[in-house]
Amino acid sequence: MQRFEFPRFEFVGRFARNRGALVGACLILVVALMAIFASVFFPTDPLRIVGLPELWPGEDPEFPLGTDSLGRDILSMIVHGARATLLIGLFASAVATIIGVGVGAIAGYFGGWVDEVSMRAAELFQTIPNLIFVLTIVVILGSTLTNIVIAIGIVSWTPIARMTRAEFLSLRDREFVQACRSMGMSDFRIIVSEILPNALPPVIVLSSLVVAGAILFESAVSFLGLGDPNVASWGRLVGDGRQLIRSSWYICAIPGIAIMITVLCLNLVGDGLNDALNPKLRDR
Amino acid sequence: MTIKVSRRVFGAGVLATGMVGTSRGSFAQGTPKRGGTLVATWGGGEPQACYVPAGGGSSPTFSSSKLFERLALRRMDGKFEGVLAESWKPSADFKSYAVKIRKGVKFHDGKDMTVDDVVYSVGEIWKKYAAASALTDFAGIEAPDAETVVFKYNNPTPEFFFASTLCGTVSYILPKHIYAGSDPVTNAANNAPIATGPWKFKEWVRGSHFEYVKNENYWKKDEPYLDRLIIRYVRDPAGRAAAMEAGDIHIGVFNPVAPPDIKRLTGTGKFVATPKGYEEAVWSTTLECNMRNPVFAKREVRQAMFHAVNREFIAKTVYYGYARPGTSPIYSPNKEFYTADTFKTGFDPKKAAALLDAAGFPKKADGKRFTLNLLSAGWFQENGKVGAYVKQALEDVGVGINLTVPDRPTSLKRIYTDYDYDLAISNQANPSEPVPSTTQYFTTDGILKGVPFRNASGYSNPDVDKLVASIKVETDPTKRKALVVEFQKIIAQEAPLLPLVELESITLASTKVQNHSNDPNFLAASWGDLWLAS
Repeated sequence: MQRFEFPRFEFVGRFARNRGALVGACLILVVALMAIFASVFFPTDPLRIVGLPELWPGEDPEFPLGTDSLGRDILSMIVHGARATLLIGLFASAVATIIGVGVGAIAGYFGGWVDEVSMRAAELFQTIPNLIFVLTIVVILGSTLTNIVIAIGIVSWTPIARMTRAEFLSLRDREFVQACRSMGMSDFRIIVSEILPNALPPVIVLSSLVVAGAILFESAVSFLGLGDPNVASWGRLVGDGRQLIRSSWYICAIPGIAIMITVLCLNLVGDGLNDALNPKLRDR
Repeated sequence: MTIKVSRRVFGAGVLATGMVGTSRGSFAQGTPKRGGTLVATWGGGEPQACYVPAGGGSSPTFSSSKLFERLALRRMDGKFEGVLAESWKPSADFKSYAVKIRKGVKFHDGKDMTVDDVVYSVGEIWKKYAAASALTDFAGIEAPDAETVVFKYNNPTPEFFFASTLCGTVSYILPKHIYAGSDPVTNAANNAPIATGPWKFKEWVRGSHFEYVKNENYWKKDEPYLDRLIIRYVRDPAGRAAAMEAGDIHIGVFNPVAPPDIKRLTGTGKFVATPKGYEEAVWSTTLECNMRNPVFAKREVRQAMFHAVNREFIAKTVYYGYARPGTSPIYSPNKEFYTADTFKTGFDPKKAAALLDAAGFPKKADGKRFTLNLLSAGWFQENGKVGAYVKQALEDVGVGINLTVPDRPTSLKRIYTDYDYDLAISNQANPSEPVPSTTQYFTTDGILKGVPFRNASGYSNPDVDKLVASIKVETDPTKRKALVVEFQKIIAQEAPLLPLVELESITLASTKVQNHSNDPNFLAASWGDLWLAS
């Protein structure tokens, strides 16, 4: 039986061989730590008005990154915003991965009409422009964090489903799977314990990219004023600041840079994961 | 008393001296130049329809007022002036008014405007939609001859009130031949109106703009001066500032750009900013309590909501000083009726907390007394900021707040149709005459499910209803003012809905635009007299 082995050290070594990925992973770790310890650094509500409005970064040592148009501490909003942003990214990616892998696995394994129906459904989702679809769902369901996660998950699952299906198609008639079948193993067990582990590496890479995509979607939704107004998120900060882009551009720029760095790092990590998990590149 | 003004004679006299428009306002120099296209915008979004019979807020008012005309208007100097009416006169008992209708007015489709159109518009549109709460005493309208209509009332009707009714922002004269027999709310002509005004509807590119062209057969000689009028909608204030700076938009009414941009653009010398033109439409940002929620049963709880909020902060920070704290349901620029001597709900969080304690809502273990849904209407960007501040201010006195800032259609639906909120931050604009624009937010007959900008709080108080009824029929101006003062005192203390701040609205215009801001409600003026200097 050919199982996917997860040789830990070898994996770390191959991941670390990609310098970009290493830097990305370190920065993501910093963002994650910021998110985890946000309430330790800034115990008060980040959306509280604490100072004079539109203080430039450095103008008042109490607010190193300045304040926004209402007088809220931008540093506090960035740190707390990391939490909302990462949570949305991770959960939306999880939702997309669960739907995508589920649909893709069933379509690829069973083929026939099941495949036809699910791939046509996937195409239906793909034909609707993603951002507009997300906005529609958020407007209908209401702007809360959960709904935004669901909306992003619903639009992001199709590439994962297609990738999973392709992997399943190439694996389902391989000898080890036929062997399992001849042993009388159930379809469910073959899918979950035999094919899935072998199909997973590219899917993991794709999921890590969906996290980055989800962060961008959330930013766009918040930018357009449809984010959850009770939560500090980076996109919302950019959206609030755009009115003042000619005079106090830092209000947009600081969270914009935070979004850019995080998304870039997630993409670098995705590349690193690809290098580490792709058997074809193993001996590069 | 007869108010008789002939615009034609008036205009001709002034034209001879080459100073048209100066008597009605500033921003006019020299002889009007003909031709050209004016592109205008406003500080809000696209309307739900080009014309909404019940008003539907400022957005449809802005788009429809260039096409439709009213019977009269109020001038900058406070005097009334006939538009489609030439004059009006009360009977001795003030129970009926005879209105002379202008002759020679044609609708955009070439049909003559007659007294039948006036009778239809007043009886069917004003009475049922546009001015329903101004016409509760209305007993009917008839046309004794081809140039006169007679408004009949069950009770004496004050002259100021009657003239204000004629000037109601959406009290238009509609073409009977298009509207009769249909449901006016869903009539297809609402999105391509046929009317009498200086501008003819050409097209509506949804999501972008309205295009209006010159009405060649307009009854007012020489107007409009321009060939085309485009009303463009730009969702974002920064986008409007950029479009104006690029010369794509000539004039923006009602705070088109963010305050820092006002300073920047006027600094270039190519733009002027003015607070003129909003005297009959003073805007406010209001906070209202949904009386359907039992926590608001006691007025002390409602007062506490206002005591918790620092209105000075909102005026200074959110509106950059282009606002002042509001104290009364009637706003301070209203010379006829405003009083400062009302119940005060000033910033006093300790008092707010004490009032809530006394009302039986002590802080629970989680530090909260109760939790409310705060809806901030997303049609103005500032509302979201006010909402964020009010949330914090109320949380400071132990009231949990779930804030939502829905877009315009959702906000309208949730506040005025579904009543799906506990506290709402909304906006209103009121003329000097308090009945019905101001009073309909508080009277029982203002509770009209699905009609925007009416009594959504569900506040119903027989004393207020009675008071407003007597304001309606009091023909003595001094006694009438005393009643309006009493009304303000009751509402300020009852606090179902009060202004947080009165807004100082700004029009920003290119220096090329002449004759603007010359009407006390410039957003709803016909704009036939605007012209572009080269």
